[in-house]
Amino acid sequence: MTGPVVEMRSVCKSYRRGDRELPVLKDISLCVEPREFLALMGPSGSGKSTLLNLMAGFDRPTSGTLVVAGRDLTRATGPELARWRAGHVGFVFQLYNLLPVLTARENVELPLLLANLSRAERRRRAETALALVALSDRLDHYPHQLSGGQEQRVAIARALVSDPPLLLADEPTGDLDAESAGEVLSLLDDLHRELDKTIVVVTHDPVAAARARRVVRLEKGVLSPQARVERRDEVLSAAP
Amino acid sequence: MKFFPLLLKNLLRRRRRAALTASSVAVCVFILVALVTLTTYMKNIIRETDSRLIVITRGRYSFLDPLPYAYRAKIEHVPGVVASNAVTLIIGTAGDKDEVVNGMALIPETYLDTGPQKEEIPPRDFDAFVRDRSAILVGPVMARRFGWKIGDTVTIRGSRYPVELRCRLVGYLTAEILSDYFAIHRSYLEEALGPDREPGVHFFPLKVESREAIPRVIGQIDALFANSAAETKSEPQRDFMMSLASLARNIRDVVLAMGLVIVLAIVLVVTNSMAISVRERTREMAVLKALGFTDGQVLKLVLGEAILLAMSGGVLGGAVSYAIFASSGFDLGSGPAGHFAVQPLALADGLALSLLIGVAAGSFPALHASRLRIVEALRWVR
Ligand SMILES: Nc1ncnc2c1ncn2[C@@H]1O[C@H](COP(=O)(O)OP(=O)(O)OP(=O)(O)O)[C@@H](O)[C@H]1O
Ligand SMILES: [Mg+2]
Repeated sequence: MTGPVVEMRSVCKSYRRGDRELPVLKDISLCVEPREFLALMGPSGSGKSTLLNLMAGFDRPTSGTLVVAGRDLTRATGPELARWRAGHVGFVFQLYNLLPVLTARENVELPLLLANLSRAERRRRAETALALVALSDRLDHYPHQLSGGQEQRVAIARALVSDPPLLLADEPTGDLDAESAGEVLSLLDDLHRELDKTIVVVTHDPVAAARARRVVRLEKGVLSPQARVERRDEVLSAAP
Repeated sequence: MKFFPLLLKNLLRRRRRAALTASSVAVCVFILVALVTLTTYMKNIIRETDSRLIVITRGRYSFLDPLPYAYRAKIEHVPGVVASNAVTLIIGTAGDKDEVVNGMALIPETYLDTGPQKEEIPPRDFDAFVRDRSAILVGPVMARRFGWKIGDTVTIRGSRYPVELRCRLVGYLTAEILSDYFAIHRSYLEEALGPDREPGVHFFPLKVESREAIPRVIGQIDALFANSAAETKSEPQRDFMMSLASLARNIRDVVLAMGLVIVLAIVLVVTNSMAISVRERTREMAVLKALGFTDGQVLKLVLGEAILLAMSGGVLGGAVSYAIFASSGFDLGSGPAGHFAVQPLALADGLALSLLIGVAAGSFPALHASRLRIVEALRWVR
């Protein structure tokens, strides 16, 4: 793909609280290049999740332009946006968000139900994705039979299975112990290096941010250029 | 159809709730099947009653107030009456377990002329019935209930009259309306009761010479007994059947009204159950949408789940009604609607009702689910 994967120009996002407009993102311009691994940091409530959700096409900006994977998300209708999501972004949540009634394999298969694939093909791809996150031995386990780290890896497999160009993760290690967090981060690292995925991770954790090639800071809805850290060693030294 | 496994798994997640909800739909369907079956049965009875020249004379206020047997002679003198019978309804018990049986005592000789049905008794059986004063004719359902065969000696114990009637089974009553009834000789009942207790007559079926004569005959008979202790009401047989049926119809209307209320209540129950289940899954709905499911697909998933839930209840209810009505010959007690079978149409109606319940109950929660916005629903914590 030529051009940036994410191209945000003067994006504002505000939420309505009663009759008051509550600005959350103020004039954000940000590009994410193909094969980039970007970390988005910032204090709680600064709008990180809001920004990531916009990139994922979960919601539309209040103003500004947003083009992701070549598609202008500000102009897409609801169903168009849904179909676009199915093929172009993989999203990893802090709380995994696996469906409890489905096994690991079925959870990973879920996005493939939206594609035109045979049952056998869906199964095969789901198994491949689970092999990628080293969970081939947990295909038929239900989420409650898995550890947090394993659940998150299933969630990553689900995000990967339809081979989207862009992988978004909102505090993927926020609910994990240090060891599981390390595994998940290594996994993202591998996906970035070996599968050339473009990755944007929201994190509070400097260790997690250190895996990224570029770190961007958000403060009260504003990207602060002075806080932009370009190299990982600086992130670590900036950690409290 | 790709989504069916997901739909099924979601449904089975709360097994007990699903089972209870489905059962409530089953109750609903059961009521409907019973109603439709009953209605069809009554229609058949009225249709069976052909337009023969039969007039029924009965007590003015109720056919359950017996008339004196002596009326028969007076009625026979009314010009235009060509044959008459006198029917006494008998409620009794039979068998080892004292099961309730219904039947009638009548005058065998004129029964074929005045009976409610034309081909109700095979001629050979009828001859045997006329010849033997202690003979009994039995409907096939009753015969099956007690395992009686032709030639058996059967005993009917009267419940209103303290008598024991030992009879010889000589044949069957084949009319559907009489399938759970028996018929014996009036003279045999009189003999069993003794000279002091004359059995009252519940109705006199009469054969009239022509259709044109019917209104005059009816007027003359009822005038004959006007202002007496036991006034009469005469009407063509079809009307008589209709009045029996209308009694049942009144009951049915009440049941129908209650049934409607029950259906509404159950729609609310299922709606509530689905709404709770959707609410619990708010976050999951958001995740489905995040993965690329459209609002419409989410709507279909929830609606499909509600329909599946309701229709599994419908199948259950249909199966139960079939088992109850078809296998055992459901007994509505005394009265003409003693026995009936489930109509396939009634089962289809039951399934259609459950589908309707599913759609009605599922649409609101489904609409709610389809309108959930991802970013808000993702913040939803149980
Ligand atoms: N759907 C919404 N309606 C109203 N306000 C919202 C909504 N979503 C977010 N907000 C507000 O927007 C601001 C930014 O929220 P956001 O979730 O993006 O923060 P965050 O940086 O991800 O925080 P955290 O690190 O705690 O996850 C908060 O003040 C929040 O209350
Ligand atoms: Mg957040």
